[in-house]
Amino acid sequence: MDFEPQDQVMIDLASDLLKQTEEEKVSWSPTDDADQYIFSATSSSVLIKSTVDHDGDRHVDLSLVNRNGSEVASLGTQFNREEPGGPWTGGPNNKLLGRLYLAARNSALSVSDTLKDIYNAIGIEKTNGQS
Amino acid sequence: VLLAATSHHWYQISWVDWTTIVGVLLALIGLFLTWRQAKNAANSAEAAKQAVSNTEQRIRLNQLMVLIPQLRWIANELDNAISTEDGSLVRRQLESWRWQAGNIHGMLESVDPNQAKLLRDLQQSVGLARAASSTLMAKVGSVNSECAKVRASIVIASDELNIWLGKSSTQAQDGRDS
Repeated sequence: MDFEPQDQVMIDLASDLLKQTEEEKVSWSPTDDADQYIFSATSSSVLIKSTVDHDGDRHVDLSLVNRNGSEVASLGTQFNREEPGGPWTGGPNNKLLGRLYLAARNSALSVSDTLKDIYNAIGIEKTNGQS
Repeated sequence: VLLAATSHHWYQISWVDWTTIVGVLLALIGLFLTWRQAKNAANSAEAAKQAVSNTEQRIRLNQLMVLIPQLRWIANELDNAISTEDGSLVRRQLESWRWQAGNIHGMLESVDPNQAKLLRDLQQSVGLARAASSTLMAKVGSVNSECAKVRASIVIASDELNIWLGKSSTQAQDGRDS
């Protein structure tokens, strides 16, 4: 079985979700796991979860689930060693998944709106993070 | 003189010609009858196809009338399991919800594909049930706090399904009465 095409499908999905989330065309919702967010269509959902391992490295997992809630495809951050005993280096998709996780969190918790509101309250107008 | 002797009016035709004319008329009538028969057959086939489709829809609706109350029952059992802080029972009920909701989702999509919001809310409850099951496996906090969002989502989906079922069963009843 060849797993490469599924990875590429999920990388494409992650890129498209990031774009649509940043353009506020996709709205994420919180789940009962404080570090996991969900976006649902009519027959499928996407879940994105962040965990921190015992070395303090942040992992992000993106899962596509069907109408029964079964996972049909996934993509996760990877850490590789170029040589045994050498330093761990992040995989090529880590940055994309990290950005998507933050965008999903921002959408689900309305982080930008909340910040905007508090800055309005203290009398400072912020636009795109700049005062 | 020859011309005058051989020329006839249109009604001065021989019996052979009359036979030909009658033959053509009969052929036209035959064609018309064949066409009408074929049209009726096509209409009958269309009507039969529509009747089969309506029956299939009614069967699916009847199945939904049985399955949706079961979903409600699962939601109640989930409530009981949450209130007794029984994590493993909560996970079993969440699994049941996922599978039952998945079945209902498929039928609903077929019976009434225009219900995008209802389908999305049902899908959201399924996704949240999956997330809550994983959280419960990790046993981080209380069962109640780990199921708050999925519980709210299940209530929304369940209520919307009941409203849809009420409307659809009334419409189906009206369709049978009329």
